[in-house]
Amino acid sequence: MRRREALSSVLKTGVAAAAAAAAGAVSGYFLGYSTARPERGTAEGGERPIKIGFQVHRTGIGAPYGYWYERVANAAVDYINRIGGIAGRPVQLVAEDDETSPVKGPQVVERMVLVHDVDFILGALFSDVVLASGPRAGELKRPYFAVSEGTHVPFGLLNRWCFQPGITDVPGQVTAVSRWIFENLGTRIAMIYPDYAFGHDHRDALTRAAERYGARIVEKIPIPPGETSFTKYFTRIPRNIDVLYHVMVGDVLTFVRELGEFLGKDRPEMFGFVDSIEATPLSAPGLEYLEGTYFWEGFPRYLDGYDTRYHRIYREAVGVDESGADKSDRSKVSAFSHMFGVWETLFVIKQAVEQSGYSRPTREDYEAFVTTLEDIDWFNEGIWHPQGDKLFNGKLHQSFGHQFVSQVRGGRLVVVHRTRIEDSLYTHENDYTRMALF
Amino acid sequence: MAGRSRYSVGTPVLSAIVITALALLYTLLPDYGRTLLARIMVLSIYSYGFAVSFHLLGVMSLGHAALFASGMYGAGLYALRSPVGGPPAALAAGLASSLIVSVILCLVTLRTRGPYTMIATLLLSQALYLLMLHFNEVTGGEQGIVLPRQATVAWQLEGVLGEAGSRYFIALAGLTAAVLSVLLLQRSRLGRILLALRDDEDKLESLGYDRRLYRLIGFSVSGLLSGLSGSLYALTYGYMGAGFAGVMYSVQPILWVLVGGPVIELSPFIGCLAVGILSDLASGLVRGHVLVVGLGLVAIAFATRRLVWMSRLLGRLEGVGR
Amino acid sequence: MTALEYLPLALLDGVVSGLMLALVALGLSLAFGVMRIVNLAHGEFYMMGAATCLLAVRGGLGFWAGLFAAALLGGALAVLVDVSVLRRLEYGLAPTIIATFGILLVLQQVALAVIGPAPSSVEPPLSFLLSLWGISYSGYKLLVAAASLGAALAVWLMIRSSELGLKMRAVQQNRGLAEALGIDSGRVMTVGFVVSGVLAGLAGAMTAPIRQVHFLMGLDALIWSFLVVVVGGVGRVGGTVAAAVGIGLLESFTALLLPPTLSRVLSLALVLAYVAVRRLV
Repeated sequence: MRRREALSSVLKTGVAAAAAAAAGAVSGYFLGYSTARPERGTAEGGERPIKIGFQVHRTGIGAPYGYWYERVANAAVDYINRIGGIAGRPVQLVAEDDETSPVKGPQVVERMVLVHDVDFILGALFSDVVLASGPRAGELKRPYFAVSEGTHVPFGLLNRWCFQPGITDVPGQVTAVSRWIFENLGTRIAMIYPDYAFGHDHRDALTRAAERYGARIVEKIPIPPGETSFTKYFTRIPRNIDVLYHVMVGDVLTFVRELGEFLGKDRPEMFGFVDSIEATPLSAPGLEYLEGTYFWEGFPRYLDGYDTRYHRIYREAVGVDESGADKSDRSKVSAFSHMFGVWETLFVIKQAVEQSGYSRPTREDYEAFVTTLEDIDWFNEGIWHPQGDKLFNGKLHQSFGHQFVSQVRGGRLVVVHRTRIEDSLYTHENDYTRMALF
Repeated sequence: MAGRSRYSVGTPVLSAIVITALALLYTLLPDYGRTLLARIMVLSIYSYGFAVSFHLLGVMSLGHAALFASGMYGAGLYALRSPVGGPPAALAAGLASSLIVSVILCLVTLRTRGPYTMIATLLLSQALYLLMLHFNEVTGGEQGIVLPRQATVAWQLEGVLGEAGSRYFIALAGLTAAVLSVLLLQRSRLGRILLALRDDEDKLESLGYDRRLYRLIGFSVSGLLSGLSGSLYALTYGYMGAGFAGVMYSVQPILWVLVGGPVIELSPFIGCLAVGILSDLASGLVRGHVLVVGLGLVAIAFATRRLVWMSRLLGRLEGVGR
Repeated sequence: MTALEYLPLALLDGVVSGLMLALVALGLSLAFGVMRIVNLAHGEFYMMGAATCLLAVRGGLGFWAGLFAAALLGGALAVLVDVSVLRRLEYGLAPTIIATFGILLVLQQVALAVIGPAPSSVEPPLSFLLSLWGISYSGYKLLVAAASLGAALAVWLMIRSSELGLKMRAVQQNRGLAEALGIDSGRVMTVGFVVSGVLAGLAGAMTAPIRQVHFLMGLDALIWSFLVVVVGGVGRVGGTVAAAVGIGLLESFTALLLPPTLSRVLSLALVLAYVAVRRLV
C-alpha cells in the first residue's frame, strides 16, 4: 500500500515535472533557447547590432552598485548610439541579473554566449563572481570586461580573454594614496578591514607601501563578514597611532556610529575608502562622526572636486547632480567612484573594435581585437574617459589612473589631493600576452 | 516486515529510464540546455547526499554545505597543488575530505535530536565557513580560486566529447553513481538497518546493533555523496570558493529534496531539476526573477501538500513537526 | 593589560547586544518555540518592520509613528501569510518550510523595490550617551535592551498565565484533544502567529536606529534567532533570553582574547559544544 502510494506520488511528481519541463521547453524555444543560431544578417557590417552582454548585480549583496552600473551602461550605450554606434553599427545591451552569485554568474555568461550570441561581455564588480565567470568566458571565447577593483585580472588569476581597462584596482589605489597618508597624516597606522579578498588586497598593498616609505602598520584588525556590531573589535585599536585606516563594506552606518561612540573626541586621523559609503548620503544619521576625516575617491562625488568639461558631460548623461545624487530623486546617492568604470569600459570596447576592424565573432576578428587592445598603452582624458587619463598595461590587462583624496567638511566631500598616475604603478610578473587565445 | 523485503521492480526501472533519457536528451538539447542540465546534474548529487541523511537517517541537517565545500576544496586544492594521479586522485582527495568532515559532523551530533541537530550542524558549518575565510591564503576565501583548465577533468575528456559534452557526461556519470548507491543502499541490509535506526533507535539497540556506529555509517554515505558533488563541481567548473560553505548552500538541498518527493532514488534529482529550471526560466524571462522564484516555491509548497506521504514521513522526523 | 581595561565595556556590550538579539528572536520563540511553525520568513518580517520605520521617518511622520506602523505591518504580514498560505498548508512541516522560504525571497524583493538596494539608517528618537564605569555608551541601546526585557516578560506572562497562552500550549501538545475540548485551533494558531509577526516588526523598528536598514538584513536575523531559540530550549522564552545574553557575552569576551574571525569561531565552537553535550530535555 505504501509502495503503491509512493509510486503513484512519484508518478504525479514525474508528470508534473514533465509538464513543467514541456512548458519550459516550449516557452524557452520561443524565447531563444533554440538550437538554431540567431540570424546574424547577410549584409557585411550593415545594420547588424553589436551585442554586449551585461552581467548585472541586480539583486544580492551587490545590488546598490548593480543599480548604478546598469544605469550608466544604458546611458553610455545611448550616447554611443547617438554618435553613430560602434563602427557604424548600433550597440545592443543584453543585461541579466547574476544575483551577485558565483554560481549564477557563469550561468549568465553561458546564456549570453550560447543563447544571445553576444560579441562582448561586460562583467561584474564582486570578485567572487568575476573569478567564477571569467574562466567560463575564456572557454566560450568571448572577451570579458570586469569592472571590479579586484586583483583577479591584473594578478593573472584569469585568462587572456579577461580585461579590466575601465577602472583601477585596489593595489594601484592604495599605492597611490599611501604616500599622501604617510606624508600628511602620519606613519603609525592601524588597519581595520574585512576578512576577505577585498580587505586582504588592502592589507597587502598598504603593507608593501609602508615598507617602501618607512611607515609602520602597528595593528591589523580583520573583521569577519556578516558582523552587525563592531564595538567588541575596537578594543584592539592601539592608543598611540597616527592614523586609523578603515575599509568596511556592509554595516558601515553601524560601524561609524559605534566607532564614534568608542573613540570619542580624542581620535586619531582617519582614512577610509569611499567604498564604505558609496550610494550612501553623508547626511545619513550616524555618519556625523566622519567630519574631518579623509577618504579615497575614485571619481569625486561632488562635481567641484574635479570640475572639467568632460566630467560635466558625463554627469549630465547619467543623470547625476553636482552633489552626486540622482537628479530625479535627491535622496538616492550614486556609486560615483565605481560606476564610471562601466562608461569607460564601453568606450574602450568601441575603440578596440574600430581600431582592430572587428566585425564578427570569428577567430581572426577576436585575435585582432585582443592584440589591438593589448597594444594600447594610453587612454586620453575626454568624454570617453571623464575620470581622467589612464595608462593601460597590455600584459596585465589593467589600467592605472589618478586617485583622489578627499576630506569630509561640512557634510560634503572636498578633494584635497589628486595623485599622479606614476604614484599608483606597481609591477607584477603576470603577462597575458604570452598565453594562447585559442 | 513482509512488505519491506519485497522491493518493487518499479523504482530501479524508472531510474534506468530517467538516466537513459538524460543520455539521449543530450543530442536533442541546444548548447545552453546542455550546460544548464550539466550543472543541475552535478548539484543534484548533493541533493542525494542530503536525501540520504534526511530520508534514510531521519536527520535534518543545516550544515551540509560543509560537506559539499570540503569535497570541493579537497579535490580542488589537490588538483591545484599536486600533479600526482590527475583528476581521479583529486576526486579521491575530495571524497576523503568530505568523509572526514562528515565524521566530525556526526560525532558532534551523536547525542542531539531534532532541532538541536539542526543547530549543531549549522554551527559547525558556520565555524568551518569562517575558518575558510580566515585561512584565505589557502582557500582564496570568499573570492575563491580558479583551477587551471589542465587540472580539470572536463579538459581531459574534451578531445573525445567536446567541451559541453565532457561536462554533461561527467555530470551524468556522477548522477548515475549517486542513483546507484542509493538504490543499492535501500536494498541492502545496511539500508534496512538505517531505516530501523530512523524509526526506532532503542529497539534496534536492544537487538544488538550499535546505534552510534550505524549513524556514523549513514552520515558518511550522506557526506560522501555531498562531497562527490562538490568535488565534481570543482573538477568540472574549475572554481572553488568559501561562499559554498555558507548557510544558503545548506538550505538549497533541503529545498530540492522537499520539492522532489519521497522516492529517494529519483526525487532528489527531480527536485533539483524543478527548482533549477524554475530559477533559470524566470531569470531569462523576467526582470525581477527572484520574486518569481519565491512565488513559484509557494506554489510548489501547495503542490507538495497534496502528497500524503509527507506528513507521515515527517512525523517520523525526530523531535520536530507533527 | 588593555583587555582588562575593557572588561566593563565587554560586559555591558555583551549583555546589551544579547538582549537585542533576544528581542529579535522573541517572535520566533513564540512561532517556532511554542507553536512549532518553522517560519523561515521571520527575518524578513523583522526587516520589513525596520523598512516601515525607515519609510515613516523619511516621510516625515517620525520614529514613534514608524514604530507603530512597523508593529501593524508585522501583524498584517503575519495574517496574510497565515490565512493565505500556512493555514491552507495545515502547518505541515515540509510545505511550511518551502512556502516560508518562498515568502522570504518575495519579501526581500519587495523591500528591494521599495527602499532600494543601498543601506540606510534612521535617527534614534532619543540620542544620548551614558557614562558608566568610565565608558560612554549609547543610551538608546540601553533603552532598547530594557524594552527587550519588558517584551520578553510580557510574552512569558502571556504564555504562562493568559488564556491564549494556555490554548496555544494545548494546541501544540495535542491538537486533536484541544479541539475536542472546544478550542478553535485554527484561530489560536493565527493569533499566535500574528503576535509573533508584531513582535518581529517591532524589533525591526526598534533596532533600526542601531543597525542599518538593508533589504538583506533578514537572513542574519533569522539564523541567529533560530540559534538562540533552540539553544535556549525550544518553547522557553526565558531560555531564549538567557541563551541570547549568553551568546552576546561569549562573543564579547572571546573578542578580547582572539583576533576577530577566530574569536567568532571560538564562540561558535563553545555554543556547539554546549548543544552537543547537553542531554535532551
